[in-house]
Amino acid sequence: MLFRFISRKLRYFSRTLRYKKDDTSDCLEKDEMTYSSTEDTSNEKKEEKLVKNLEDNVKKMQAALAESNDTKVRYFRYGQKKTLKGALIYIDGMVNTTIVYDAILGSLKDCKISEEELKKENLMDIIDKEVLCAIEVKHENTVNKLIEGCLNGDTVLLTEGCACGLVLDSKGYDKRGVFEPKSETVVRGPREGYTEDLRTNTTLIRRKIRNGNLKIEHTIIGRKTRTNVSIIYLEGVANPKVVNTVRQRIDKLDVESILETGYIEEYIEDAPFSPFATISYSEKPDVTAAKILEGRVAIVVDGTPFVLTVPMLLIESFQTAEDYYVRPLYASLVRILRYIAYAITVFAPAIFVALTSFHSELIPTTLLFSIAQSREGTPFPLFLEALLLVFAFELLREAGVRLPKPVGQAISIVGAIIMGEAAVSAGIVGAPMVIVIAVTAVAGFIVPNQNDSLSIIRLVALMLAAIIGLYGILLCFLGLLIHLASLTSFGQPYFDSFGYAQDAQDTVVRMPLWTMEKRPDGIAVGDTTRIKKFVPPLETDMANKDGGDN
Amino acid sequence: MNNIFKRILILFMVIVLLAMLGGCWDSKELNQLFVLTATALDVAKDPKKITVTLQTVNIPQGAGPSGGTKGSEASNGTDAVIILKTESVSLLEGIMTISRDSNRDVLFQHNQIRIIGKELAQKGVIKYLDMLMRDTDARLEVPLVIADGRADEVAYANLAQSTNSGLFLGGFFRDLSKICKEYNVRLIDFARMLLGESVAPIIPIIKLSGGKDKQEIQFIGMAVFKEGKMIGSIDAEETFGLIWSLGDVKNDSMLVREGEDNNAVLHIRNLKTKAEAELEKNGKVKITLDINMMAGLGEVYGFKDYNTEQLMAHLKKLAEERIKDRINDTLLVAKQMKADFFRFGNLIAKKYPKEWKRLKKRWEEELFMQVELNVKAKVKLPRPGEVVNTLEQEKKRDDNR
Amino acid sequence: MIIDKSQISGTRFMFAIAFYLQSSALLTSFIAGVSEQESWIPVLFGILLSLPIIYMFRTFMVKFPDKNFLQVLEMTYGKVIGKIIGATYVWFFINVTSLNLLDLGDFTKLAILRQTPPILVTLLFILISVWAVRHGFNVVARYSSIFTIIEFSIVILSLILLANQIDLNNLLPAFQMPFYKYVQSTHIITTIPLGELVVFLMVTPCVKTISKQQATKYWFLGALMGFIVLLLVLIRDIAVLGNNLHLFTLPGMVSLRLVNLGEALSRIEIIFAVGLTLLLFFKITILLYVSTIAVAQLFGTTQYKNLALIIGIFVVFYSPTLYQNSVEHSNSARTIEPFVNGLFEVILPLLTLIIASILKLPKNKKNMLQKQEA
Repeated sequence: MLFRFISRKLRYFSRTLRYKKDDTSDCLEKDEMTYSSTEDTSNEKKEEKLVKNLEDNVKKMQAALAESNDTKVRYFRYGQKKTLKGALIYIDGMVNTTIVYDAILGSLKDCKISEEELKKENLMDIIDKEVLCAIEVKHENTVNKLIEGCLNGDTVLLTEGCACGLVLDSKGYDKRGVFEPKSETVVRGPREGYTEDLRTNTTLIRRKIRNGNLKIEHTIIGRKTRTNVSIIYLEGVANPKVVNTVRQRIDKLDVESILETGYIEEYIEDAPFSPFATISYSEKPDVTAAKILEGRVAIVVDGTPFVLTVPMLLIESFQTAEDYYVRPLYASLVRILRYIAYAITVFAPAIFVALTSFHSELIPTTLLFSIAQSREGTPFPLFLEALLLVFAFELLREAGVRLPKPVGQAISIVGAIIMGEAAVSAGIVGAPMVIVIAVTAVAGFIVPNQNDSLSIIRLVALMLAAIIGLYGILLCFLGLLIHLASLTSFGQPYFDSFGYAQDAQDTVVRMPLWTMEKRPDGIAVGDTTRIKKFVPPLETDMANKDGGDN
Repeated sequence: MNNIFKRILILFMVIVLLAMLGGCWDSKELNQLFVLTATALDVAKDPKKITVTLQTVNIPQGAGPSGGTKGSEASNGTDAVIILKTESVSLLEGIMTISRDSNRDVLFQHNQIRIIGKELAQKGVIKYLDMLMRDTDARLEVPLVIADGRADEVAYANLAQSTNSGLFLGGFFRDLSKICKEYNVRLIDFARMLLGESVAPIIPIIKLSGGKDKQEIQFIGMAVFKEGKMIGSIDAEETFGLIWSLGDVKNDSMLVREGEDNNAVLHIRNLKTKAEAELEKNGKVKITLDINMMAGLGEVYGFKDYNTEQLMAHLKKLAEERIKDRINDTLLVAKQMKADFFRFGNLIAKKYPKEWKRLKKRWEEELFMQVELNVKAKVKLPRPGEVVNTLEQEKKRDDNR
Repeated sequence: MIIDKSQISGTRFMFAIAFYLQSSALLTSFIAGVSEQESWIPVLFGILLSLPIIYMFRTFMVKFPDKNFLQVLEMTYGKVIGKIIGATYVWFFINVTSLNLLDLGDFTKLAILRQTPPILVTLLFILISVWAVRHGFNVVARYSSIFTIIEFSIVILSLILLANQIDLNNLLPAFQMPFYKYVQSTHIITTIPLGELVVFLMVTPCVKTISKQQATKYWFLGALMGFIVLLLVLIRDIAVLGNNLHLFTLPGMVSLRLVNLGEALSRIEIIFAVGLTLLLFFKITILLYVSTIAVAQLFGTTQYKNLALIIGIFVVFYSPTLYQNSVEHSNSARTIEPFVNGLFEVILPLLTLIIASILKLPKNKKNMLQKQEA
């Protein structure tokens, strides 16, 4: 059974590989895939049109909305002599009742249109243009589109004698405010974070890039969830091929639900089986804005504060927004620290196990004695100790995330300090091992975006180290390098930033902003200059001309 | 399609299992190892065999480390070292016998020093060193030392300064090597001297003295080898001569005497030597040593009748003379022993390669005896230290007022 | 027919050459056996002698920009003889790969993992190599630039660390040994480390179109970087070890062991081991790639990815059978191998070049260039 399951998965994997990875250089050309396009196949039943009778229309709408309790229908009469009947359909809780009643109903009730005009064909048009006070009005005549409007929080206006309905914008559901995101805090920099509303999020990005070329495209995906998804990019800077690929891949999705950007990420990413994410996400608009300015494409999904950006390079995990708001010297230091931290967190337990089990000659003599002493009383081989402690650390971390806040602090203290101490005193693990794992754990938090790859590679390195010592770690490292070299993210090589001199301005160290004249190579197509005239600081300082103090 | 994937899966599992099962050959748990700190070689009762003594560190067992006591020097009654001894024909055989008869393997890599007993050195030491050069575990930069007496006593020694004589000696020679590299004869240096052109290798000698507890180790000189056998030794004083002629001494001290009452100690900041060889037509060799010494005044004892300037000049002269005398004395000793540990052979071989091929055979017996040495010593004594005059001189000046 | 469609830039190619030469720098013990302390003289002469050979390789690249070497052979000698000579070249490439793998296995068994059977080590190694080869030459040569710089810094660092033990007098006296030893050493150096650059003739189609000047620049600059490292390492070893040089099988490792700057920095040889493994990895991967492409070219297929695994496994099982022990290996490296290598690296390419220029090949060079630019 397991065999069949694995073989089925492998077959699917090979099929996708054949379609996606025949060419390592340009995967964008192979995107004429044979996914079935799904516009509204499952909604065929609801492809009904409206009729002229009001009651029938209302019944159709209610049936389409599964006769839910929160679907509210408000009949009213309007017109000069109040003879025409109309109905407002909306979903309670999704609409701003003030708008519905004051703006819409109020304006309708005040309408002074004569009966004859109301009998004409373009009734809806008249109501729309001359009567209503709603901002956004759409004309629809299928039940489908109308309930879509309802489900988005709009109000539907139906009239007797017209087979057409109006969808009026009146969104007023509760949403979270714009607060500092908990997952990406900064010391210096803006503290706005995305919320769960699509429009708020796109607005936040717009406020960062007040440029007419910022293009926002909109689709709706997900058969059941009908989630609003927006693609945002800078026209003229973003690579048109990448934009096309993103658009195609999203359009061809035949999925039931999109609840979070993580869903979309899994469906459109280049390397589903790699521990490395090829699409990055962020919760802060300034991060996304910076990436859009570099030529990347952002994907915003309604219902989640996390925004995706493609293409992604490995270097991005080591760059935070704060790097660019702080001065370059310190930022470079912290950047280098991050690289070292990543190396430590992935390889430290493995190196420790390899050195003490296989290559004791590499440890200085006096240190060897203390490590040997700590090994005297412990029962398990070093490899098992390391595994145990790594596992315990993962347990603590998960528990810390799930616990309610007041209890969380106590548990972390209890877990980390007391359990560690007790384990060492009881002789289950050795003190040097605890120290190594603690350092590993702490270093792991410095590069937060790469959590998934860290844990996996750490385990692989540990196992290889337990088998063949330092050579195993070397093999793991080489395998890692090869894997990274072969990854591409939407056509961009994933890990190539160390090869180009131009990109070195922002990889290992962060050069001052006045030296970054061009955008990073390859991502942006078209307008690639950031600085038109190279002016280092103090060049135009008037004080120097005076030759003295100001 | 199903078939292919089944096969791939089987192949994959085979590889994974191979990797998993095939490992751990080289894995050594630290609590299954003896950490070796010193190796001692001695003669055995059987003239064909040698005694191999391994000094290892005793790591206290049982107790898990919980705060407090760490480190190998246990102070609660247990020994800090475990000595393992056996008799065998060669070094590696001895080690194999020892590891076979004990419950742990021996970890060679932290060997701090190798001690060779005097008797064994006199019998011939080269053949026992083969393992140390061939095996990758044995490090070439471990110093060699000859023990005046038996080497295993040094291994057993419980010194006043350290419970582990191996570690002590390792640090001892590291310190000495900062003064002059020649004190620290590593196996590679020994090999280099052995393979050099008619050079007699030298190895330091130490002596163990003191009672049961709290023994002491002293450096008493250098042993001189010829063809792998120890033929004699020079004492510490004569070693100075050798060191000063080979050059590159830092932070040493030199004692200068004039008569019984007048001593002075000079700090040698830096002593550099340049050696030039001249080969005359009849085969006679003339060596010129150009010695430059930068010194500081350490201690003055006596010298009542000088004031500071005169004293400095006088001490300079005395120091130069002392250098000359000392080197010439040591050269006489070398000539007596017919051993060229000054490495003059190398000098001539580098400068006159063609003639050297002819003269090589006669070097040790004849030509070395006829070497004429010309020592040009130049001492610079720039500063007298913190005090300008000694107390006696001050008193004398006061009296004369 | 183009087997591998990946393209690399010219600078990356240059660094790949440099890297390839650097990896031979650490295994120079076989020369030390012949010319001992004066090994630096034959190395200098070998470098000079290899310059025209590199020029010849570069001419191949300029004349036939998108044909790998086996295709050139077919074009020059005609189908039948071309394929026969190509088959011998296939044998040559696989042989060189196995020899390098044998070096790796021996080194690991000697220094890092003493009790593990080397086949496990080499098998895992080759599996990762095969994985790299399947992704194309782009991935194989991706890290050449950064690793060249890293290796260079390691060599400079080791020079600094060993500065107090370097005695340049060990390089003299010079020209003391009988003449034939110099000739032999020069021959060994020219063919074994430096002449193996012939494998880069197989990756010519993967390099983006470059002009004549650029081709010369890339070949010679890359080779120059490799030469510098080779010379530096050799001089360092001779200066530190002196007359002991020919005793050791791995003089580089021994020199690094002697680094002793206080107690903390005393086990630097691990850097040597790690560096050597990394270098050998990329060298073996490039060689494996070349072998795979050669076999694919010989049999006229473009499916080189599946071949990679087959050839990889073959090499793993072939390499331990080449020699009985490493003494035989060194002996053959000193005596027989230079002549065999010389045949494939110097004589055959020279002959091919001469015949090609006589036949005024390539006939439609302009078309080829246009095709590549399209």
